[in-house]
Amino acid sequence: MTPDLEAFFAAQARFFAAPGDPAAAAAALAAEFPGWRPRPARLVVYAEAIAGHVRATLEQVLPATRAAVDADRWAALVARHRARRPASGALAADFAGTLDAAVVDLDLPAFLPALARLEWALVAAYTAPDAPAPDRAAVNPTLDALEHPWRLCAYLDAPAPRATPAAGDEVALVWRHPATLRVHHRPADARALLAVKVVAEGIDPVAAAAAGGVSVAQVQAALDDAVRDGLVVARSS
Amino acid sequence: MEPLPYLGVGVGLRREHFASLPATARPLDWVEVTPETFVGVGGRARQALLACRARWPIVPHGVSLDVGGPDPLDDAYLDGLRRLCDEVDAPFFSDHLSFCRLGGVYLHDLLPLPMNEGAVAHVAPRIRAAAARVGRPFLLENPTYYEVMPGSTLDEAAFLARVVEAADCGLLLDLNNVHVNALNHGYDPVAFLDALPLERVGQVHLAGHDVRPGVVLDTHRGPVPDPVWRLYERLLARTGPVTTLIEWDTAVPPDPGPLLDEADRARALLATTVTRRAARPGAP
Repeated sequence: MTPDLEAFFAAQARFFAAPGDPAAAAAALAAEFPGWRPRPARLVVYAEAIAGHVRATLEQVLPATRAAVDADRWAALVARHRARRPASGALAADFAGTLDAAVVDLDLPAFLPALARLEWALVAAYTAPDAPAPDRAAVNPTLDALEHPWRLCAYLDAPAPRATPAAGDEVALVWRHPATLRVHHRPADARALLAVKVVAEGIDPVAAAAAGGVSVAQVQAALDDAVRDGLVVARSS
Repeated sequence: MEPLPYLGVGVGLRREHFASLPATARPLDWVEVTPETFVGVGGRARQALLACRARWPIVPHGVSLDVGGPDPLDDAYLDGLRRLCDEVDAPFFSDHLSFCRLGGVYLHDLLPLPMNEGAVAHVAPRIRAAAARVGRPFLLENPTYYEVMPGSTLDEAAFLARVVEAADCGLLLDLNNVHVNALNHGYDPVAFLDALPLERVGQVHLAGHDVRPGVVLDTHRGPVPDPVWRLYERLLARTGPVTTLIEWDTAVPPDPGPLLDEADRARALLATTVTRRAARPGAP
């Protein structure tokens, strides 16, 4: 690469990373190249398009996270976020990390990174690669379990936005149903966890019943429900 | 450059049409897919991809190859692109003459390069490397640009021609981009076409745009405007039938019907072109 091209890219990196006023950033970019007389409004088109795309994608993919932050702090978060994946729909994948780094200095709600992780998990389950049909019952490969000290599933499902989620430990299960392809989320309960554990570890239902102090019929019912709900993928026939 | 197959008229597979497009009874010759939407993705997207693959040729058209950027080509992205091309047996694949990544950060826009010999020398080997890695012929699309970048010494047509010749790749000629650039930079779009190596055109994009105060934006919104259709007719008169795509990515209609209407119009023009060429004195 020629030195001129290297200088061009370095200037572009400064332009797109510049916080605040796009017009000021455009003027600063123009000033780096004596003799270049760009129309600043045309450079602003790029700055606004890129920032606008990040903002629009985050707001589409993480609507509850967006709703939990005021406009000024949201704008600051959008400006800080850097997309590291080639798919533009995946630019929200790492947003929880941006939130982690900003919780203190932007005085963000403590639950916000966990909420963003949960919302992103819904997208990740929707787009997760298909797995070959198993030759025995298997845990749904799209299943994700997220632990956090808030009742975030209820917070997401609330018909009207609430200021904060209720406190309380939760394991949120997120998965794509293998038949309907719909994405589901819910707090894990003992029956679901039992079914997942039995299938994941290949535990005999009789042994699981004995270890858990429940009947074999109860274990089997938990397994049947897990298959119906899509947490477990039944053996292909 | 090897001759590329003529595929007819296609449309892009968009999320809004995952269920309806594969089931359409209307004429359609091929389907374009953005690899960024389908590589490593399952569920409804993959169902739609496989359903389309069962009916039509599939051509991947990317936005993140970053042939112009300063970062090394993304190995994982290229591996995924190769897998996709192999799976759908793509006749070719394409991306844009632009950059989209700086310091590992994807900007998710098609950003213009300085138009000069240094950029030609930078881009051409990257195109050759990408095509070799994917193992399919590559077509380079002419992008829109809203300002000429500093250090430019070539005009747009000369830059484009120099790159495709140095890279020995095909040209995906986006006629909406030609029209938009002509309006934004005040040049004659017909003269622009005349200055291109049209023998390298392997595919055409037709799309719409938005007119804003002081600038025309390449938005792929709505039906193809009349000036773009007129450019298409002029091009076909020069090249004969060319694989053509209707692009409609903004405010996508819930039903693919309006896109297929545009595809019908393109198909009719292609048929007229064939008839006219056959009627020329001395035509075989």
